[in-house]
Amino acid sequence: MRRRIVGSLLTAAVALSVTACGGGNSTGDSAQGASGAPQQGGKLIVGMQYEPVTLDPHVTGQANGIRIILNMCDSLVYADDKGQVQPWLAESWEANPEGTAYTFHLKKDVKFSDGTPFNAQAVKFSWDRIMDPKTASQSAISALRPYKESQVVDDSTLKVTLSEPSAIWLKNLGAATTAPVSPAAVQKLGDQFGRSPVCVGPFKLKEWKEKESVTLVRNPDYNSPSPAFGQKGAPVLDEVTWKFIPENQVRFSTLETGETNAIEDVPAPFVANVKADPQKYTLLNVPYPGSPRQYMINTKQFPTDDIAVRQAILYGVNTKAIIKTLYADAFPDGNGPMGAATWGASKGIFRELYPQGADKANAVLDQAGWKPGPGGIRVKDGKRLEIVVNVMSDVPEYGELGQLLQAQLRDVGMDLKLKSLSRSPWYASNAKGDYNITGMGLWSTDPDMLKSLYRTDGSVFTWSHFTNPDYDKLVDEGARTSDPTKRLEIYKQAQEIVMKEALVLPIYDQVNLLATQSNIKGIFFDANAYPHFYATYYVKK
Amino acid sequence: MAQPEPAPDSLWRQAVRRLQRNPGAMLGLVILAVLVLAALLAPAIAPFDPIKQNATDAMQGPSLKHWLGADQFGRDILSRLLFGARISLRIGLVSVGIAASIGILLGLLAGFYGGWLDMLISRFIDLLLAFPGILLALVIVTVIGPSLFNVMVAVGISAVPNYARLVRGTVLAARENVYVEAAEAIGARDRTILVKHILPNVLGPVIVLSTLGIAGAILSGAALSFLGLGAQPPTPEWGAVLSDGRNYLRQAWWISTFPGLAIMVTVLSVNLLGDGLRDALDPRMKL
Amino acid sequence: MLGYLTKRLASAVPVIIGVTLLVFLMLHMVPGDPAEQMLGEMAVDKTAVANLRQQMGLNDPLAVQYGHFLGNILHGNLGTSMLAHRSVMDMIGKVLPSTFYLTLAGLGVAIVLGTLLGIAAAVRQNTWLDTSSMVLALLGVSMPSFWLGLLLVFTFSLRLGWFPATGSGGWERMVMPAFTLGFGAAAVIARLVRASMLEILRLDFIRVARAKGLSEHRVIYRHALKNALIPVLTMVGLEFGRLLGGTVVIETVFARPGIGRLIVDSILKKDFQVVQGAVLLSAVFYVAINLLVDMSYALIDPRIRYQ
Repeated sequence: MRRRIVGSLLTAAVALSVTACGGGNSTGDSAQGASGAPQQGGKLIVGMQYEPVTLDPHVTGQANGIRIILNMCDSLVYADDKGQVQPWLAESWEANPEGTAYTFHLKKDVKFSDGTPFNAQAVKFSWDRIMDPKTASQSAISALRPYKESQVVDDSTLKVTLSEPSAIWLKNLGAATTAPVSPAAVQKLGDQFGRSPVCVGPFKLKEWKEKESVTLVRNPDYNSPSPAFGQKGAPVLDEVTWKFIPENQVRFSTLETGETNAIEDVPAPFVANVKADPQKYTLLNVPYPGSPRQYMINTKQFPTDDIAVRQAILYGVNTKAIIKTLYADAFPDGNGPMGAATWGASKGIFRELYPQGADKANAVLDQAGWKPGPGGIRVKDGKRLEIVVNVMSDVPEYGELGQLLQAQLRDVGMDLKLKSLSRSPWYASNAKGDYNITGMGLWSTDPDMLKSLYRTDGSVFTWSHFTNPDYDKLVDEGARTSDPTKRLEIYKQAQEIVMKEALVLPIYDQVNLLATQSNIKGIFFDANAYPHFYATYYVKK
Repeated sequence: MAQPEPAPDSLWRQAVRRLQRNPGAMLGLVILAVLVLAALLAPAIAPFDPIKQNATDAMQGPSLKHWLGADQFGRDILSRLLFGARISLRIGLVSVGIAASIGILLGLLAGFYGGWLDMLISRFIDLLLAFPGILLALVIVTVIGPSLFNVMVAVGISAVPNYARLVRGTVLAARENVYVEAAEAIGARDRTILVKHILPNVLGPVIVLSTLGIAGAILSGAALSFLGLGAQPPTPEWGAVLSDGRNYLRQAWWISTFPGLAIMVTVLSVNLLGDGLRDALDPRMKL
Repeated sequence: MLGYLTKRLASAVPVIIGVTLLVFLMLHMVPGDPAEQMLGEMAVDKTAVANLRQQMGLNDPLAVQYGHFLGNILHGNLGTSMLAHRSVMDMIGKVLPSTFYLTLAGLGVAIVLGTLLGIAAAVRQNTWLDTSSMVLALLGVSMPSFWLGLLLVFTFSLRLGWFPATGSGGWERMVMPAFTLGFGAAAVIARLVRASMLEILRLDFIRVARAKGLSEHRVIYRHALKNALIPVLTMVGLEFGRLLGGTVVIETVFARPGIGRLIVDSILKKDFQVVQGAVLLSAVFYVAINLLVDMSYALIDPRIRYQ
């Protein structure tokens, strides 16, 4: 159940998607090398915890949906491992100096998997469809903003106008959610399009068995892989099936019995089982770009309005012990405001500034006038050091994490009160700010997330309730700047401010854990750490 | 149920004697007595705090220190089960209490007064009965939110129709009997007739139903915990302890096995006792 | 006879109407605003909330909303999932058969297992076989079904490799879920079979059969069992409902498609329209099954009508 929780949160994060998109390049298993000859054909069955609600790339707001979609839907561009935007279905593009108009030159002789030709009309149709309120887009629409309109110049040329300049718009087009879809299929299928989407991609939908599985089948006419895949033409595998198996214990059992050949979101307790048998299994762990799994600390509420208290929390919490207890050491220590694998992250900034230790926490609190009081809880001016933790009751992980924090911070004289709230009141309370700390996790490939999380009114997730004009100016500038070197410098400063002000307690860096049978090779992970099975193959034994 | 009026005491005494001769029921009774005692004495006999974590003991197998092992937080399983007994038994008792009190009241009103009141109540009972199995409890928890108390309310309400229907039927049967007619003829007040003549007839089946209901309620509580809609952590409700431990079945079988056994033994004992009570009170009872 | 059938049929109507009302009110009794619940973190965006409320028709007076709700149901429309943008009826229709088969298979397991244990207990009354049969029957109803299911997966799928653990289609995927479901209901049937067998074995015609020199085997299986199974049949409707409810847990454990899993998934996703529709249809389905069962008894055995 543990990963589901993270999953549901991340779903939320993807829905935000102001930052949470991008596409790109980072291979997961190229390092292990290929031993044995590739085998043509074969079927891959992947165990996934929850069934996505829809496979319409323009509608979905769920990470598990996107994971399937990206195996049938190519994007216009992708982001490589340096965070640079590279051509895919768009061969090239030009932008005007203001960054408000783009002209795309599209690949020719490409067809949607239903045979409809891929052209500028189709891209315009797709993007207009995303912006149409009737589509009720949950994620694609925020990736596509500030898209205003587009004009078809000829079959392979599209002119796009944005309503305002944006440094990250092009990068966001790497998200599978903005992928072009077949206009003919949309018109034909109507409401049912989400059940059998048609895009340009290596696989196409064969069958969706409700509450059981989704099967994609090889698209023999596929001719438009991104260069990052390192392969040309149609995919090797005949079929890829995702089976939806909610119970962790059962999902893992199916990998052992061969009922599935791979499982996504390996639950932490099973990581050791996978590692113990390298003959049989391969564990692919690819860090998700974005924030760590973290607690945001409220700067506007007593007593965490006192920076000493915030800093003491960062010193006092033993994240290593938490990772060991709850996650069987499957995840790396929380890096800082951004996970270590995110482009632009300042490596190790959290523990560099706040080495873990109760003595340091105690010293900060002593200095700030918090004196030990009755029951070992500190007191200042007659007020106890009580910290209210917002716990979402739908999500057991919050409860477990909360209990560990409670136990650890008691040792430095803090009394943590876990306030259990169901989903909607939890969000309402976070927005209102009547708590001290609250948990979250966000996926994002761009440091622009620092604006979303900590800028005044940066997004609905600014749960540190931090207001600092200098910081706001800094991240605004980052959003406007396109020079990567300058951006890196800006976000380095931003991360320093976030950590020095102790706005966040990073727990662990989020990692995509995918376990496969050891004879499966060639799984490609994109910039979002999502696996692509286009180049995947079985090794002959 | 058509026993004539005289000497109810001796009838009860007979029932007790029959119960004593039933080895299964007696075994169930003894196990339950031990469990109740353990639950009551939990604070005194539990070796550890059931909630406080102790990282150094995490995932330790059964040992002299932790007789039933420790969970991933280093919490002593035995202590959690002892304190959990209080919670799980309370779920059983409170939800049966809710179900029985509402159900008996509705059943008595419907059966005794008849007419439009009976109509109304019977339709209401039919309505609740239309939700198969645990579904009604599931819907109620969805509406009022997951918590220990809400689980008891939900499980309780979903069992109301069983009591109401049973009591209504028994009252109707009893009303037909000569002695109630006689009592009415001599002008006895409603309440007197209810308390003196009808309630005693209802009591036997209600006792059996309640006993079996406790078993069902403990299981429903566990099922809701499994679905993530039950008692919230760190509450050591047995079903929650079992659910929390199920991911560790390979590495630390003791975390989930012992709470599973605790539920099984308890529910089995309650069922054995319930079966014995039924046989002792009236073997033909249709429950 | 016809009179009874019409009356029985008519009595189901107010129940169904009551169910629709209850299911309708469910959405409105959820604490906070249903639209906000569905939107989660996006609920901070008040326009989004207002739009969704508009879309769901939440701004109309309750009575009007209920009228629409009922009207839609009469047209076979259970609403649209706000998350999937699909007809709820379509979602349920795709998974209902799977749940129906699982429930039937579970019922089969319960009847076979319960009858065997009940007979064993009755013919050897007050021996160890009697006691152990009844304890065995009770074991099924005493184990949390998700735990039993996991243990079965562990033993028969993982260790022995006899059955696949998940999915639907084919008898081999039905065995473990049906057993998990049926084992829990076997106790009630075993108890019933035992009691009625004991009663019947004492009756005259059995004594006559024995006196005629028929083998004990023949007496028990030809004569006694046939009569002992009649009360079991009266339980079928009730047990069907219990098993139908039990699929909620079983389908989740064995990753089977089904209406129970649809309900649980939708509760977790706060897709209340789907929860409403699925619960409503389960209830109607259950009421219909009970109706059918009752009517067929009335045709088979007219005495039952008077109970």
